[in-house]
Amino acid sequence: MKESIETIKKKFNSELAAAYDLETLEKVRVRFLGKKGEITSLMKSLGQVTAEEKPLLGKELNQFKKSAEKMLEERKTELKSNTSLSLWEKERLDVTLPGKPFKIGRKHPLISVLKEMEEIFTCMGFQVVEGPDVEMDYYNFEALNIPQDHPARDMQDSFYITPDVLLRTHTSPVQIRTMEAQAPTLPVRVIAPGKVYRRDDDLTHSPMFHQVEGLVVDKGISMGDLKGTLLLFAREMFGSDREIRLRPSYFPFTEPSAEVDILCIICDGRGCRTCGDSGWMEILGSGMVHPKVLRISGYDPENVTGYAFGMGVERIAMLKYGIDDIRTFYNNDLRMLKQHQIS
Amino acid sequence: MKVPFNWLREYIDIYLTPEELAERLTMAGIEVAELKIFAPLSDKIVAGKIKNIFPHPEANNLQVVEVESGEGLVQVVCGAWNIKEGDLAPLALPGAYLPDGTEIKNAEIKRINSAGMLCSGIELGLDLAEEEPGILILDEGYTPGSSLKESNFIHEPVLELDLTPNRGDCLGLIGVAREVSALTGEGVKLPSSAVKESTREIEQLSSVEIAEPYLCPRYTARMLEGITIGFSPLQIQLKLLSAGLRPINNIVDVTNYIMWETGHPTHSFDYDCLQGGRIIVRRACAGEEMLTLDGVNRMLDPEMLVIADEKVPIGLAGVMGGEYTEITETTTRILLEAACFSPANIRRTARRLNLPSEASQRFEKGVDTESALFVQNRAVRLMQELAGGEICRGILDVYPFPPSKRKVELRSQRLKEYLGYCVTKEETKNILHGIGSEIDDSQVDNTFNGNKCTDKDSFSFAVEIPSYRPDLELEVDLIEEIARIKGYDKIPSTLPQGIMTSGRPSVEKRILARFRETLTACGLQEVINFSFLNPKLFDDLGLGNEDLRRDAVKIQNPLSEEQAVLRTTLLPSLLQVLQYNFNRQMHNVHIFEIGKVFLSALKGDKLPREKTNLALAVSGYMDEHHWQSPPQKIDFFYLKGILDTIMISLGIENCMWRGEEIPLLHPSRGATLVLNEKEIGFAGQLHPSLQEKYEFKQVIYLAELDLEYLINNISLLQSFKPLPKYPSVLRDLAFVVPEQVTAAEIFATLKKCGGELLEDLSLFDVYKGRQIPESCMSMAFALTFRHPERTLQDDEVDRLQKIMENELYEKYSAVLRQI
Repeated sequence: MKESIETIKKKFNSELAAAYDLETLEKVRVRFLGKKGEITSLMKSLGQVTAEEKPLLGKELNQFKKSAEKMLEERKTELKSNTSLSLWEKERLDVTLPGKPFKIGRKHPLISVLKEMEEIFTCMGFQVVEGPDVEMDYYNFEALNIPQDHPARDMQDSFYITPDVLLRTHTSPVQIRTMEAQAPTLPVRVIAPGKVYRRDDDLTHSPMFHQVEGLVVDKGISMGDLKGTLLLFAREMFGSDREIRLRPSYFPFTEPSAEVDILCIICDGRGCRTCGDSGWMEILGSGMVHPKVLRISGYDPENVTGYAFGMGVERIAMLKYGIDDIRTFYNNDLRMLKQHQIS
Repeated sequence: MKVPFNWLREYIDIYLTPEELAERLTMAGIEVAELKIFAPLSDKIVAGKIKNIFPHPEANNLQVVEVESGEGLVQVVCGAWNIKEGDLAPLALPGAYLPDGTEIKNAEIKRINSAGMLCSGIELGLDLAEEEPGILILDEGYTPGSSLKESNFIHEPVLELDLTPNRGDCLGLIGVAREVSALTGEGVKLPSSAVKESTREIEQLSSVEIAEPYLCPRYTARMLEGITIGFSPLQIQLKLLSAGLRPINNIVDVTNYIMWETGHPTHSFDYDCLQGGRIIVRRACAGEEMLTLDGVNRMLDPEMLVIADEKVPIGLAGVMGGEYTEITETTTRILLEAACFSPANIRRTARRLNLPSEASQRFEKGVDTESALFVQNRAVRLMQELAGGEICRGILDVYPFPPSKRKVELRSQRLKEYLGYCVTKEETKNILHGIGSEIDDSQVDNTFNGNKCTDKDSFSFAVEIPSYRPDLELEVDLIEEIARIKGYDKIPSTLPQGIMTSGRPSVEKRILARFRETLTACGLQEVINFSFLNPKLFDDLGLGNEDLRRDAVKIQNPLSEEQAVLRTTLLPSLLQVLQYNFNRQMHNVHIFEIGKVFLSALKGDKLPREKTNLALAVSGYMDEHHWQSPPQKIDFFYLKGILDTIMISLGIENCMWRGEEIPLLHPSRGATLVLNEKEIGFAGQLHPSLQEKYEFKQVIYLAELDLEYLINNISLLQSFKPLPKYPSVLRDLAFVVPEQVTAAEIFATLKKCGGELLEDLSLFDVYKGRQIPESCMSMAFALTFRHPERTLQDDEVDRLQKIMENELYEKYSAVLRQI
């Protein structure tokens, strides 16, 4: 038995030394350590030796087996790294070749801007509501304190369906619809995004465009609240250090009324071509809801006040993306749309 | 409204630069859209005094002129003959540029040296009214050698106001001066309206009758006799020019001048053309005609207010005068009208006749009835100054219902509530006085002590509104006045307080957002098209006569036929987007739009029905080109895959595709999408004949869904199933199926037979050809079976498979293929 162990040891060592590739090495492993391998057989035949020989032989055989396993493993690692290196060299790639292009669609830039605006206001607790594109003259004009012969109708050349039905010229009718539906419950805190229509078609006017209307009605709402809300909005939209200013203006459905400018995002107020050297860019109209509008919609102007604002989405998008022709948004030229970052 | 800076300064002292003034006005709500220089001149154009004139030795049509330039005599050659020794005229010295860009140089004209040029009005960019064109003769006020740039109304800063419709009062310089006064505290200096009347009574010559007092609340008339029509002095002409008005003759110029000064239009009639010498303000009679000053014969109707003499209309009230009583060179007696008309009526007439004018623009915004007499006196005073003659004694003034003084209450607590900060009683008073109001504060309100304003600051004023501010009607109007005069920059930045509200978007919004996410993830680009369509497209697309999409809402006044109706389908616009991009070498077009379509109003409804649709169109290759693998062409199943993905994203598993003939689509490659027995849309290949009509060189796949049903019937709630505990059994089965049998039928049968144990079923191969009988195909399915509570045995699956085989054979003669 002892001799057999020695013989096998020698044999194993010489065969291991001769194994120059993984395949031969595996054969060596099977020959010695496989189910019918020589070491395995020897271990099985341990049962036939005498009781005094057994512990000693068993120990030796075990040690041999362990060292054989270890040597095989070491040899394997050594061989592997050698073969892998040459194999992997063959697998070398030109990593500068173009990657597989994934086709990714994008939202329309106006939708992205709308979404951003909605996010800003919903985070401030505004609900998003909508109204019809085709609107009653009553909601578009009358209820907003714009009677038949009011000069403000100068500003709004509209598409009519019938004498008292038209394509809404602003999102402000949603103010009335919202208040009518909610009165006398407080507070009202909504924005109303949507399409609006005017009979204009040039570089800066499109017969259809998008607006976002805002309306807050509650006890004790002030112009300060309007200013604070819009400052927050401007900073979320255009950067945390963006300043705004309010200028007195006129809208029949707000009083006092204000145009809101932001510090020019191109020149930061130094004056440039985009802002007409004023340093400011007009972004929206706003004001305190006119008492007549509150009353007609079911709220008592002696008890509640409110503010409202309306802004053009295209205008904001044009400022944000540096686009100077509004028609860009409606040509749907893929070369333009594909420039839009994925959002 | 153009405001020449120096003209404005005649009514108020201004210690601001034009730029500073523009900024102050803009921030107070009187927007200065532009600050421009009228008649900009270069430095080297000076007033020259003509000393000597000699004939030109070489040319009969030229003269040699010696001019005092302020720095010695200058000799120039001149071709004009309206000059004489002692005249002052503009002299352009070498180095000067004329407005048209010409540079003046030392020159030799026919061997005589010319060191400059005497200029005409036109050469200086001034469109003056003058006898004959020639050198501009300056009046006495200019000193030789002084740069013309320094004189008023040449090189004049002009503020162009962009007024809001409520501020008609600023359509006159005095109104603007009042506004400046409110801002700076300087007082307004009203020009003199003192007149010296003759002994002749106007009542002996004329009378005024108002037949329509609601359309004409006040009419005043004055008369001048013995006037001489001529040109206005240079200063007046320059003022008018700087304000954008064209000088004509002294009388017309004064009416324009006074309109600019006061904001109140006036009109002068040649009294001797007035039949019966009377003025009647009435509605036009049906069928009446009138030749207006612009030489057009106008048909009038009873909606229009006219100024008539005893017989015929002589003017369209507030809009335009008539030619028949026009001031001419021979006019010696005039009747001057200063009246007020109903804004709405003037507006309608001006619109109807398409005759917007400076006058109608002012009447539309409302003219101060109270200022009529001042305006009359100012005007006749100035007319007499410029045209001589005598002013008849008295003013005809018909003023049926003089309005009473208007009072508006202003309470401190409302002021604070609106502005978000306190304004003291004193400051409020000052501002209200500044805008011309009177205040009655005898009733101090001591009941209010609600917020931070101290009791002594709480007040309640009865504020008397000046007649020239009709826009101030309510307390909030006064609050705005206080806010804007103080400056909106004083308003603090706060946020609304009160009950918390949830700002979550509606379910519909969230579902639409999910559509967008899925479609963009599928590689489709979103587009937005106009809500309009050309109704001709319905014919082009071959929609049947009964097709509901033809029943589109018409726009009464579209910009063009292209936009004549509201869209009932999104597809025509998508086809146009395809065409647009194909024409620009973009051939892989994968697009979608989510937008409203408009269907005619239901009976009894005033508004059309608005529905949200989704449309998509794909054409070209599935992927971008890549060097590793050639891209595959888009086919029907690519389109279907996108729509399947949408359904998966909404958790919908039972959407059916019913192959049938559909308008717009290839007759055998289109399907109606059916969900719970409701048709929700259609999808397929664009009809080959339409493809040809549009000249598309590639196949288009498109779909349109009505989202209303989906939005109302899907739930965004979702729950996950626990993962299975027991192993599944997989079977691949292929059936040889007759061609006319649809995949849907096989799927349905397999699902029915598999029951609860059939966990998943997918088609992995469809094959026709060798080994498969003619007019049959092989469909290979991968089936996954699983029992939720125990390990499924093979024989159980064998049983199910047998049932499937039998059923498919009986129903469709489909046979299991041995693989």
